Amino acid sequence: MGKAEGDGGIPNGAMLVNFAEAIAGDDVERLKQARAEVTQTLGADGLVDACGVAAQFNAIDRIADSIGVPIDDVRLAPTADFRQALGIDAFPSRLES
Amino acid sequence: MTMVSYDDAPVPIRQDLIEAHQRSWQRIAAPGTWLTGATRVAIAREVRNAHQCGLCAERKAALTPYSVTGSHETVTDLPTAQVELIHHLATDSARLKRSWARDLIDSGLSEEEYVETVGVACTTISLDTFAHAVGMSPREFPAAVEGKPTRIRPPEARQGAAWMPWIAAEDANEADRDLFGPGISNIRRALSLVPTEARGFFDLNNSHYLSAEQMKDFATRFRAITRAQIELVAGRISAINQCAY
Repeated sequence: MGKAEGDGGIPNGAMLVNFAEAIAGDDVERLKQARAEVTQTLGADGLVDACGVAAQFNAIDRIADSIGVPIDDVRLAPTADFRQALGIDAFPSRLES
Repeated sequence: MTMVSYDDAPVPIRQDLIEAHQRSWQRIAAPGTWLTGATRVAIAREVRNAHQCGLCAERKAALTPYSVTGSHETVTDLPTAQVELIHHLATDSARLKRSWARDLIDSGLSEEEYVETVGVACTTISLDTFAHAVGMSPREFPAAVEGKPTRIRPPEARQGAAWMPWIAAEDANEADRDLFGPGISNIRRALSLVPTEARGFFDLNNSHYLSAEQMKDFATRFRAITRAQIELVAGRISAINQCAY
C-alpha cells in the first residue's frame, strides 16, 4: 500500500495516519513516539479513542476477509471511482469476495 | 468470573470500554454456540501464538502463501484445520481465498465452527490490538467456563454471496432485525450463521468504534476525536490490511 502524505484536509491527519501505521507495524520505538505525540496533541481521551478504532478495524477487516463478505450493493456504484483510483479493486480480497 | 483490570494503563480508559472488554473476555471464556469455553480460550491463545509461527512468517514473505507447505507451530491441541484458519487470518488475512475456506470445511471443520472461530479470533485480535496500541501488555487469558455449547443453527441462515451461509436481510426474524435486517450492512451479517457471536462482536464494536445508530448520526460528536479523524484511522488500518470491504 502507498505512503500517506499530508493531513488530507483533516486536523492532525498526518499524525493519526502515522499512529495507525505504527500500531500496524513492528517498530516499538516508532509506536512509542507516535503514541506520545497523539497524547500530547489530542489528550489521553483522544489517544484511547484512536486506539479503539484502530483495534476494531484491525479485527473487522479480518472478519470481512475470512468470511468473503462482498461490498454492499448500495455502496458499489458510489465507491467505484475511488476504489479504482486508490487501487482497492486490485486487492486480493476484492478479487476473492 | 473473569475480571479484566486496566489499573496498569498509562492513560485513563473509558468506563464503557472497560465494561465492553470485560464482557468480551467473559464471552470468550464461556461455552459458545458450537465450541466449548476451553476451545474458545484455546483459539485466543492460538491467535497470540500465530505471530511467532515460523510457517506463517515464511508464507507472509512468499509471493503466494499457498506455495509454502509445512506445519504451524501450535500451543494448543486444536484440530489442524482450525489452527490453519486462526493463524492465516491473524497473520495474512488479505490473501485468504474462497477455495482455501472451502478446503477447511471439506477437511472436517463445520461451517458453524468456522464462523464461531473467526468471531472469537477477531475479538481477541481487537482486544490485543487495543492493549498494544495504548501501551499495555496483552491481558491474561481468562479461565474457561465449563458447560455445553447450545448447538443452535438459525433456520433462516442460507448460502448467500459470502463464503459462509448467513442471514440475508429479507430472512432476518423479528429478534435479529436490528443486527441482520434490511438496511444493515453486509459486515454486520458476516457472522450471522452464529448470531450470538455476531451480537457479541458488535457489542465490542459499539465501544471501540461506533454503534449502527451513531454511524448514521453525523451531527453528534460521540468521541474525543472527530468523525473525520475516526474514519481516517479506520481507513488507514484497512488500507494497510489490504481489506477491500
